[in-house]
Amino acid sequence: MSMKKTLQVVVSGNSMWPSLVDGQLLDFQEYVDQELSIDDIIVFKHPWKSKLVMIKRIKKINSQDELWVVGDNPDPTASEDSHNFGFISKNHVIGLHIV
Amino acid sequence: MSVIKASAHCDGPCGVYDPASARIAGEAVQSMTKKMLALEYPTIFSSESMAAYMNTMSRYAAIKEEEAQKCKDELLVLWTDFFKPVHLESNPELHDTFWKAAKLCSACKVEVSAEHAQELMDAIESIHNMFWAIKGKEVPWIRAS
Repeated sequence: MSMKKTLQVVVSGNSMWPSLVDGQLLDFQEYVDQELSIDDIIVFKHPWKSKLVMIKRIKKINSQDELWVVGDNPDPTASEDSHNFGFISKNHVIGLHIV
Repeated sequence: MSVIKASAHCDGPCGVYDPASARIAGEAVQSMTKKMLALEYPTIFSSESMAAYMNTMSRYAAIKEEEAQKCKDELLVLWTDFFKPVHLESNPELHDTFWKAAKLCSACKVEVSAEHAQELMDAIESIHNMFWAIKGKEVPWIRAS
């Protein structure tokens, strides 16, 4: 059984409000091949900006096993997410939030 | 252990949206409609009185036309840029409200209808309520006129 690393993540911005707030520190489990489910919070590399790490919630998983990720903030201007860049591959996922 | 900074930012540059722009234009449409309906035809016919009447009526019509188009533009920007598919879940009447509001802008241009001008204001009020509920703020519906 492989040991997965724990990653510490600090939230920058308010797109995950009210669940997570700017500056909040969270523990994530390194993503290797764990099962991902709807409503999981993940950190991942932006599909178009590889240096940008983002934090969002999975809201859909399609038949190609790709993820639709969105912010929790109900303000539509508050989140850059799958509404902007579409489904993301699991290859972009870095960590899974430990509840 | 190093800390990863995860971006939870907006799709900058942030859009600034407010249905107040549509409301102000809608109020101007209603005001011009009322003024057109209230303007009395000259009782003394002369070149001067007819010129004054036609000039005033023309100005009212021109402003009504212009403000109705402005109102329509503002509503379409809100509809297509601000609202996202997810907002349909909490506002299933969203598309219908915007579609009718845009149609009412056109009707207010074509006609001189106090009824349609009021229906336009009612539609804008509905949009105001949907918008601010999504933003999570209590903003009362206030008219300038």
